[in-house]
Amino acid sequence: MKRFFSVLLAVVEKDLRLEWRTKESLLVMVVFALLVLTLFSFAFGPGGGSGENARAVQAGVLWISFLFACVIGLSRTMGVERESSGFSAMYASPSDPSALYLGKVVSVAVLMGIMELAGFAVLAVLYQADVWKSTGALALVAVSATIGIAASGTLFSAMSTRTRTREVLLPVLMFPALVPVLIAAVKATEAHLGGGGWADSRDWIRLMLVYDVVFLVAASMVFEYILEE
Amino acid sequence: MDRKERGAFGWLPILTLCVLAFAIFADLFIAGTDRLQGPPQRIFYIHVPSAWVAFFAFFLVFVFSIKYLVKRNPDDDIRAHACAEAGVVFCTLVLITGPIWARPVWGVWWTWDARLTTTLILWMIYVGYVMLRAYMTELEQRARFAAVMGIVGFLNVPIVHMSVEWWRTLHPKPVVIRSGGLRELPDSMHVALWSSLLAFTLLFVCFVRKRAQIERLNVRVEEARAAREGG
Repeated sequence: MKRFFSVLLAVVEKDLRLEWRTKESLLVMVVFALLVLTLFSFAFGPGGGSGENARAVQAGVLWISFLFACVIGLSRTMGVERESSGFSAMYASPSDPSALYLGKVVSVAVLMGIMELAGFAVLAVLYQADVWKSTGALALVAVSATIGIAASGTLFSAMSTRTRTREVLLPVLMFPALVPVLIAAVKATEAHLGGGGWADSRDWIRLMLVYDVVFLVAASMVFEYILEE
Repeated sequence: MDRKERGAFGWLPILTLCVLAFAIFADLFIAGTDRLQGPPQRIFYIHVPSAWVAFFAFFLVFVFSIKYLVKRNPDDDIRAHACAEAGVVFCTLVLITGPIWARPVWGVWWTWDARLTTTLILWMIYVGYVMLRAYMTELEQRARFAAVMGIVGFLNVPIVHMSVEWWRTLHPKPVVIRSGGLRELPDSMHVALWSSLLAFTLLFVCFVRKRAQIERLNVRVEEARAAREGG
């Protein structure tokens, strides 16, 4: 068990150090998310339109931009492994494949978390969204959605990065699988942007947690078949 | 080997054709016309069997994927592949026949009803599965990745369905004309429905067998080519 966590932490440390030195994905992710958020305000009108619908638009725009942006981060984190034959190294190492997988998930989730902070800040400024009324609740929504996105995204990008089309296939595999997370995250965020209580978002957060657990467990179990050579 | 294999089930396509012919006859002439929906209701005999076959196919993909990862028999991978492709074909039929029926009966081509949406997402998941296979060249690796996709994709279906159902309950429900279930169908409709179900299932089995046969030949061609280039 101790060994499991030390492997997991080693992967996280390696990925974050690499990111710290190259700043290849995080910067692009953040800029891309901001770009999408800006573009959506041109498409839907300033602040995501008017009246009741505005909050729904804001929540939807926010999570769509996160989903799009995380494709970049995921392609990078696995692209690096492919280019430096990290997959062979992982396969050759005696470590538990699920520890390697979970390490990747954590490092992707950390990058996404930083991007999401920027995204929420921009939402508050550009869309005049009220993110301060229930910061804690929004954070919980974001965390449970991010784990789900990172969990399935890591698995799918480990596969897509080794196809002939490289990263192109990632959204095609990942987005249909992420429909439950997208729906739940948007609905829960919408509720809390409007200052709604736990009653409005509880079921959605539960749904995301179920998704997270199912995906983390299933993907941990099958990740060794992805590494094999 | 191939000739023997073909011989063992050589009668299957003929039987399928006969049942299919009877089913079409039953759908059009034996089954009575629905009093409320009129003739468009008859598409039901194509739609429901296609849906059943599609779901059954995706379940088989799941089973063969697990079996492949455990036993590593390349034939299980080929079977999973054949089932997935046939499943996508029937799922496409569901998505095409649904709107054709919905337009005259509901007045719209499409509504974001939970069952419709789930079927659409399901279709996308397995189109992704087929694409993943298409873009991979290394046989063994392709089999493993596809198996992972076949397992994860299937596990996701109940969660997708649940989320879509909750998503829709927050909105006005589409007006669905609910029949009182299978029991209230008249006998003539039973004949049509069950013969269609049997015909589509047989058709599915034929498709899968043929597709698997072609894939086995493909593999042999690939191997022969590799051997020639290697030697």
